[in-house]
Amino acid sequence: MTKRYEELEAVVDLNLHVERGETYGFLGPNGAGKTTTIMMLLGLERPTEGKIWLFGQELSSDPLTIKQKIGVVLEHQYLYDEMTAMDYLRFFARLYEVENPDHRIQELLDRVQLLSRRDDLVGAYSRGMRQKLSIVRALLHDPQLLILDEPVSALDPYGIKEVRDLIIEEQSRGRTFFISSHILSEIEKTCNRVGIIHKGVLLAEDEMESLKAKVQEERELTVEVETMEPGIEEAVSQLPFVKEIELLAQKLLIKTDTQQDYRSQISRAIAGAGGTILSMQAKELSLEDAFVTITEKNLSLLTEEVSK
Amino acid sequence: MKARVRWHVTKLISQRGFGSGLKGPVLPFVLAFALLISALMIAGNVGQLGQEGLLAIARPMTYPFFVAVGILSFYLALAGALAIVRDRDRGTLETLFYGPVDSVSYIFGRFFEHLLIFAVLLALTAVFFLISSLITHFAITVQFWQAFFLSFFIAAGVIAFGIFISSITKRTIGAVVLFLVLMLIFVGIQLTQVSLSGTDLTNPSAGLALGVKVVTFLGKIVSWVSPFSYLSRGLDAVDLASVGRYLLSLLEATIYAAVLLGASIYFFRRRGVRR
Repeated sequence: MTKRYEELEAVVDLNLHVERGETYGFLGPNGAGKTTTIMMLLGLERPTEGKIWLFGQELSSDPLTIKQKIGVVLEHQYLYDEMTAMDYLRFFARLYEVENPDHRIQELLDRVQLLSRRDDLVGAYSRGMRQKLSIVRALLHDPQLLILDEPVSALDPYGIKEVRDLIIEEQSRGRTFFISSHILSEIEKTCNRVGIIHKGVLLAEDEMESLKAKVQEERELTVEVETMEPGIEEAVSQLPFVKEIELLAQKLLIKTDTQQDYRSQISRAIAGAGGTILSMQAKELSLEDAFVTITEKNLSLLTEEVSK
Repeated sequence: MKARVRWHVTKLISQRGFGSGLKGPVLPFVLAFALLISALMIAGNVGQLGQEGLLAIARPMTYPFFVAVGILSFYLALAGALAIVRDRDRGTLETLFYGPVDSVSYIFGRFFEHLLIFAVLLALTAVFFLISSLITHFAITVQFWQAFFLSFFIAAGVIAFGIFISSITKRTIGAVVLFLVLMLIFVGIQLTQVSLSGTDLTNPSAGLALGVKVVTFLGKIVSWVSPFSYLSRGLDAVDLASVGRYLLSLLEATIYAAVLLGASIYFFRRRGVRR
């Protein structure tokens, strides 16, 4: 789908496919087109071109019924401040025709540690509590798909863990997630597959490890030795796959190509030069590194299948 | 399926608004004010009867009742004008639309919410007039009940007008200003018409003749656009005891409300639900 606002192309030829039961991380810098995409998925913005299918059905064919299967938590929490949390959730439970609503509400409030505050006015809730209340609202009707935009941005470390655990628990129940977030470490912990959007264009989409592997141009190893014998540096640098080597007191920082795991060859070379290895660590490329590389270099890493 | 979901959502939205509307602090004051003005009018009629032994108006309860309805409707039109725009301003509109809510169910929900509130106010107003009748011995006539029934339709039009204003404005303050400006324009044109009707127009100057033409033309527009024109036409129909004009007033008010609600849905869709 494509979305244009007069001169501005907010989303360009976006083709997304999320499988049932999958947790899809949708990443992009500010203004990349994430929120516009979510708004289109919810039918709140109409694509200029293209169509959206949810649960095998075209969204515009029956949006009311389709939206009953979706739970949504967006970044800004717009709640009815004059209502108590219980009344607020009861209203939404009725809206989504939830059976036995009070039981469901109490069960969910208990899971996010808000049960004791259920009779407080929503207006008196902190930002983190409002976020959790929104998550409860989104889960009330047991939706098949949860769309979360920055679900942990307002939470303290305990809150982040609670929400993460909740997501993981819901994943085990087969729920599908579409998560957009700036907190890439959280995406890394919860998502199976990610898509990276930049300036409205989907640059990359793959499973987490494959994506990182595609971006990684070199592997970095840190080797700690007991004593830095004079021949070690030379022995390692002569290995054909070593691209760069740096000495840091008792440590060697070695950069190799990414074709295979060279740790055994490096170990042998160091031992051959009379060195004793105390530790060897391979630096893992984080999602953040991958994200920065892809967006800064505007790298298109879409597979042919996806771009078709 | 779609119709069932829509009806379900419409009911819920109107119930929620109705509940919080009744709990709000403003409503009792507005009702008290409307009844106070009516009470003063009734007391004036009683006083006149006591002093002069006769009453100049045939139906001493119907006019005060229409005045009360006018005040209550004005408040509900203003409340209607704030309804959507305030939800949009606070962002709660967007949250509602994540779920099975669409523009039709939302607009009708907000419309019925205000109509239900009016029904409660109308019932309380009727009780007040029944008690007043017992005290003053002014009869509650058939015309009173006609006015009572008609006022519900008039209120529907007035509320739809408020909701229409809300659907075309972006901010709460904008809705209030637009509503008040339109009301002032309507009243201004009608007052000008009244004052011109008392002017000698046997040999008008070219400027005055043009002015009369323009004001007459604008007056005709206002008589269809302003919701309170339907109230005044209804009052005339009741006063003249004309069944035909009465039924026409009901029909006109219904069409007026339907057209404005349709236009509200159209503009609401164009404007979107986001802040």
